[in-house]
Amino acid sequence: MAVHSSRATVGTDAPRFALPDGSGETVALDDLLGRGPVVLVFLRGFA
Amino acid sequence: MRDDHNQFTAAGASVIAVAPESTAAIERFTKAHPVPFPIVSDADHTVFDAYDVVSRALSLGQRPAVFVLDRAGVVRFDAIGTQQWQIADNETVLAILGSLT
Repeated sequence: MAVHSSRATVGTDAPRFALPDGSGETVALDDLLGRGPVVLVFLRGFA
Repeated sequence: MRDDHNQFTAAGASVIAVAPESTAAIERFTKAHPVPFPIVSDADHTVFDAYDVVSRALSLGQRPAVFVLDRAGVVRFDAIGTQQWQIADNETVLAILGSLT
């Protein structure tokens, strides 16, 4: 997994990433952006 | 968040959630609490760090945050809460989405 660019702030290019979901399937931010805007949510841990 | 997913998708946006958990923990969570968007595993906090979600917090632990990215991948809005209830309300996010072309 690679993360490009620097810290994300308004007006900057969002760091790209590709991470596995619960089923192990990789979800790439670039793929989502190919369909339109993205709402990116950071969750707390589930514990 | 789950209940407002339809509004976000109606605004043309995809939703993705990043969690500081293993894929196994995410699988357990989504089996118990199905959600209509992907939750991805950032167990080593690489993406949390890239978005400065952890280091902007003044106290320990990961903090909830919301970013809105336009289709070019540019950050158009960010909100990093110090408590769960401080993250941006969905109306704010929808307004930002509505402003994107």
